[in-house]
Amino acid sequence: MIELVVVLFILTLVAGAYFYIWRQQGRLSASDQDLAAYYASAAMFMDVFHADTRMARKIEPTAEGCIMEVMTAGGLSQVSYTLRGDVIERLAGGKTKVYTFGRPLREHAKMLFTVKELTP
Amino acid sequence: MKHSSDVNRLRVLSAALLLVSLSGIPKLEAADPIPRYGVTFGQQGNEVELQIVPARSGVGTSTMPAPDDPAVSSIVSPPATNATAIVPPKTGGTSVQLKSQAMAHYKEDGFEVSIDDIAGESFENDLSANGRLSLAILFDNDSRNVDLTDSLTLQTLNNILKLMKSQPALRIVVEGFVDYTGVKEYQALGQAPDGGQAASEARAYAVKKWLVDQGISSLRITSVGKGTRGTDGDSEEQRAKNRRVDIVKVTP
Repeated sequence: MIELVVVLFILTLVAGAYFYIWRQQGRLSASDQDLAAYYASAAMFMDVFHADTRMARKIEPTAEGCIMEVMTAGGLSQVSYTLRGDVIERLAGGKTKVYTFGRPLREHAKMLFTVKELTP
Repeated sequence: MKHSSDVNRLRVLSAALLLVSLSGIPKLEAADPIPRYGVTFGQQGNEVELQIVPARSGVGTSTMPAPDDPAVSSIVSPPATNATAIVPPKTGGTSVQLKSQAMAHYKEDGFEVSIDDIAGESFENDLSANGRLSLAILFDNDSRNVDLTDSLTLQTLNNILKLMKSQPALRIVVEGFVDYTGVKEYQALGQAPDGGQAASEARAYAVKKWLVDQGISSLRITSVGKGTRGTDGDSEEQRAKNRRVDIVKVTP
């Protein structure tokens, strides 16, 4: 009887360890995918944001982002970036483009978007 | 007499200069410092920080781990062949499968391939009209590098370069293809176990790399391997068309 209990105990331990490793592998793989997608989205956003700042004559920080006065081929126009929940909206020429960054990589991680003038 | 008046004039001038310099008048207004902005965006704990100056490019830092970082723990399975993907051409890398907003209007296959007039004057117009172009580009034997000794290849690449420089907002997807018969020949030699997928990716990447080396931002170009095209009984002309690189205009 004791032998049977010991065998069952060992089997439970092995099965538990196996299940734990299998679950961790799946979790880490999904996390890598999320991480890569997040930084790819960040790079795409940054590319557009940089392009706007290169054309900007003036940048005005706002509570949810910033407004830029940009010089385009068609003259002076305005581009605004606004943080709305988990997305950043870019409004230019009456058109809105939404940039999403995927699922939160950390629990309860909030989306940030701040623009501050740096003191010289 | 004249000498003494000159000396007096000099004294008056010196005194005036001395007074001006001591009084600090007129004071030169200090030039306005160039405004700089700190930008933080992204999720808490993984945010990206930038420093920007209007009308200039900025610099930034992020906590993005490198592919060989222990934080990147696994190799994600390669993307399906019909998906829009960012695929590092080297084996053993981390492949990421994603569809971005920028790719929303990305056009798939389904147009008539004509390679003859690519390097001609209508290059820019053709890309605007069709959204896609097939390029007359030759590759070296192992398909990893563009053959820059071929004049048509060089001319074609320079045409793309010129176009990318003249249209800074233009983004393209470079698609690589290999022909079916060629892949079968390689497979007979024990190579191309993936059916030519890696070779097609390498071709697209070679074109992208050339453009990036010439100063085009890598963020404006995505390279994608589309695998094989064609069937067993293709003519040599058809095979040449299948061994190609397309560029596809990405509509924002």
